[in-house]
Amino acid sequence: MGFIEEGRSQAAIDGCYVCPMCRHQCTTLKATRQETDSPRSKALSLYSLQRGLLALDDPGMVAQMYRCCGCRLCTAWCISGYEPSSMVQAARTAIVQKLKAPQRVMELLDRILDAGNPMGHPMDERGAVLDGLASPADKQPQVLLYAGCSPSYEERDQVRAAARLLDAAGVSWTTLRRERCCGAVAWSLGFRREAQDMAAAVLEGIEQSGATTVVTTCPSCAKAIGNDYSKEWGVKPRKQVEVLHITQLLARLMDQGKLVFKKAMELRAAYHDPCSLGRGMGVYEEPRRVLAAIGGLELVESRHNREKGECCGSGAGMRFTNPEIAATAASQTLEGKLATGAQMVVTACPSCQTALRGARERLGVNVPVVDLVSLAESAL
Amino acid sequence: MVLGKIGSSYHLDMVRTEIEDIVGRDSVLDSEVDRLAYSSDIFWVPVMWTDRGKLPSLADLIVFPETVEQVSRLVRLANVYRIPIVPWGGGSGSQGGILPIYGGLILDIKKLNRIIDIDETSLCVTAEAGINGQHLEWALQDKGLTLAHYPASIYTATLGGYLAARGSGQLSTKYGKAEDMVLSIEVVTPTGEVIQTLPTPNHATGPGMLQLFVGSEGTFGIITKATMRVDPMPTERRFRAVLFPSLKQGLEAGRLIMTRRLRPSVIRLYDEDATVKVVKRVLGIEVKGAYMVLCFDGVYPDMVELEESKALEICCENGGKDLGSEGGKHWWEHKYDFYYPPFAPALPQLFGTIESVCRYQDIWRLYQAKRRVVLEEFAEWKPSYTAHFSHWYPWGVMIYDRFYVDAPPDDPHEAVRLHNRIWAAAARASMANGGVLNEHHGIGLKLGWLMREQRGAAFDVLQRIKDGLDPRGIMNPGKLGFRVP
Repeated sequence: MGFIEEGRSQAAIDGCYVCPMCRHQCTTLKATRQETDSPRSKALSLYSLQRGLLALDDPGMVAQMYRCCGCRLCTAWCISGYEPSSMVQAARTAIVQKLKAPQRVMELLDRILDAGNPMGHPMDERGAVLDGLASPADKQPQVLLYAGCSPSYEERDQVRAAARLLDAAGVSWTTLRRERCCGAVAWSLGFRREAQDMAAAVLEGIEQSGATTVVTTCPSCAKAIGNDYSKEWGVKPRKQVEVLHITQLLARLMDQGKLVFKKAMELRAAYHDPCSLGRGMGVYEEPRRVLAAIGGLELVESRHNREKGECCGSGAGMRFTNPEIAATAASQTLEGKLATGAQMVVTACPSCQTALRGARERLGVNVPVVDLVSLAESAL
Repeated sequence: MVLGKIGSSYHLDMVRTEIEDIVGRDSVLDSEVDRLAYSSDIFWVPVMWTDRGKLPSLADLIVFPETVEQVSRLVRLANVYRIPIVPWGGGSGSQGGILPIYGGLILDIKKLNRIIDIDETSLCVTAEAGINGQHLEWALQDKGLTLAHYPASIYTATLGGYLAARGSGQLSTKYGKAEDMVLSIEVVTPTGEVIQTLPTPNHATGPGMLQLFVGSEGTFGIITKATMRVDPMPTERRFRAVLFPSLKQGLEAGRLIMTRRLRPSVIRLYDEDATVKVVKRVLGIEVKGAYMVLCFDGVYPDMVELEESKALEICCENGGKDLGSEGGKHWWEHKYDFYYPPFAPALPQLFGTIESVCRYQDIWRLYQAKRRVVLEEFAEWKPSYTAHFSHWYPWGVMIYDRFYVDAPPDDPHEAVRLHNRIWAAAARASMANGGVLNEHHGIGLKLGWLMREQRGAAFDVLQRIKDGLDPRGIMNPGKLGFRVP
């Protein structure tokens, strides 16, 4: 089978097809309880495919490969570091190349390409999210605030709060004139060429902005632009820029004494580690430091946190391609946070925010789900 | 009487409609990929079979009941059409116990995963049988309790699987096997009745039915709920590593620790070959001799310390050298590492864990016999053999030994036959020396054919019980050596 060109994908197939040691925390399997969804079974399917027992365009195989949210919890639980998500990614790419991607996946790609965002919101409404906020500085701005798809349309408070926090810290900022999707969802679905084109467009916009630092409220955007473009996608920027998630910048501004939270909040909060920010970028402490800097706020940890934090189920397109599984996963993850007795659940990712808020409504609980950036802004 | 794949394609659809009537359409799967996912546990034969490009036996349908009532109705339906049923939990067995070798239905019980009650007064938990072992343990730990059942399969296996296969955990020497922890179970019998065994395991109320179903590997029915004894989470856990000049001295020290009725939670003794190979490869500790890990734990630190000191005295009197606590702690922190790739045995090797259990008076003879038969009778295949001793009783010990052949036959049929010959030779060496086939891996498909040799005339009695419970022969056919109708 020629499509597994990457060593780590083949290593995952060969290592995982007979190993069940991560499946207890596989986000998809926990939601469905179906063996087929385990990393082991996915590896077994690809292993069988390589031995002529299955076909890549088998509809069951295609569906199986798209039932993964790329959270990499499997890898976190693997002492040997196998990466089933890379194996799934490679399989999706091959499925796309064979023109066998499922209808829902194709519809999602169409929305990304046509509207510039996975949700299909009108392209010309995207920039309105920051209307009315401080105008970009006259001088060369220090920071490019890349809003991202979800914050541009659905989780608008996050990016607006981010802008106000930058203002408060005296950081000059600007935005892209024509911002589009960073391509992370397209890449995760196997549409490599399309994702690479999107990446090139984003990099061009960043370069034109003259900013030396890019900041996003969406960890997937930060990971894609700051790491994956050059290391995974083969799209290299002509000029190196620093790419940060907003929590990293807030922590830095706190350290520099430029950001101080004056208002206290007497509450117990549980922090949900977004997969892209945590396992993806290795950022665990900065969000916690920001929360700890808010007077009166007591941070409580759920059983599964940091490297082994549970997933909201939205990743790798699952929110759109398998919303039922994603919703169940979000509910299970939120229940884990609520078990701490927290009065508030805080996250630092727009997709997690949407997913966990939806879970809160489904579970009928009163504990608010709040994004970290808005919370920080309200403590100014 | 035909027992096998559901007949023609339209017949399958007819039956499927009835099944969907019970569990709903979303709870029935039939794609090739789904069926493949349920076609193997970690038994070497189906894994090798797939590796050689051969399709393993597949079920016709995979069904996900969510309630015991649904399980009961599915079993009754299967009786009508004489459709084989294979109960499925975590699929982590090594004996082929969940292989759908006659097709039919896989009943995946993982949706039966609720914790019904944690009785903090009596220290018992009641949960549905499909709950994942680690998830159950976490729920107990949140209350300061533990099931104290830490099998290597904990991340995968279900509570029902623990009981169906008589599983042991790493702390079984003190806390017992799953069969010792269970108070009561709910079972759907092969004819669909939902029955509950007595609320307590100890009684004088006639024969115990509980242990009839425990270890029956799905052949006597489907365990759907269980009440288990739990323990307070130890506040003190002390580890020690001891190195003996020889395995024989280590075995004697272990025997004395147990027969003087100390209560270690772990005695894990590696033979000389395993000490060199396994301990170095996985734990990174390079020593020669027989390596032993000891653990004592409990809620009274002074008692724990005293027991440990007495055990160390016994070890030293028998030539053991105290290596301190680090080696033992290291083992505890890495206790599951042995089961991950690339540390677990894997293809292209042919391998088998030929564990067995016997009394102390027999263990040295049994070990030597098994080692000899593997290494000498199959010398042309250049086998290797390692052993450790990890589950200790007041009367005897379990030997966890394994054979490896680095270059087995390419032909899968020949490979299976070689695998079986080595197994048979090792198993017969065990039985000839007072051993019982195994202690915690179960029988499944792998060893069913040796059950008659193991149990003699008693197997006929077991067969008659099976025939009475399961007159249509639908429950997990082909396993435990029972006659296939």
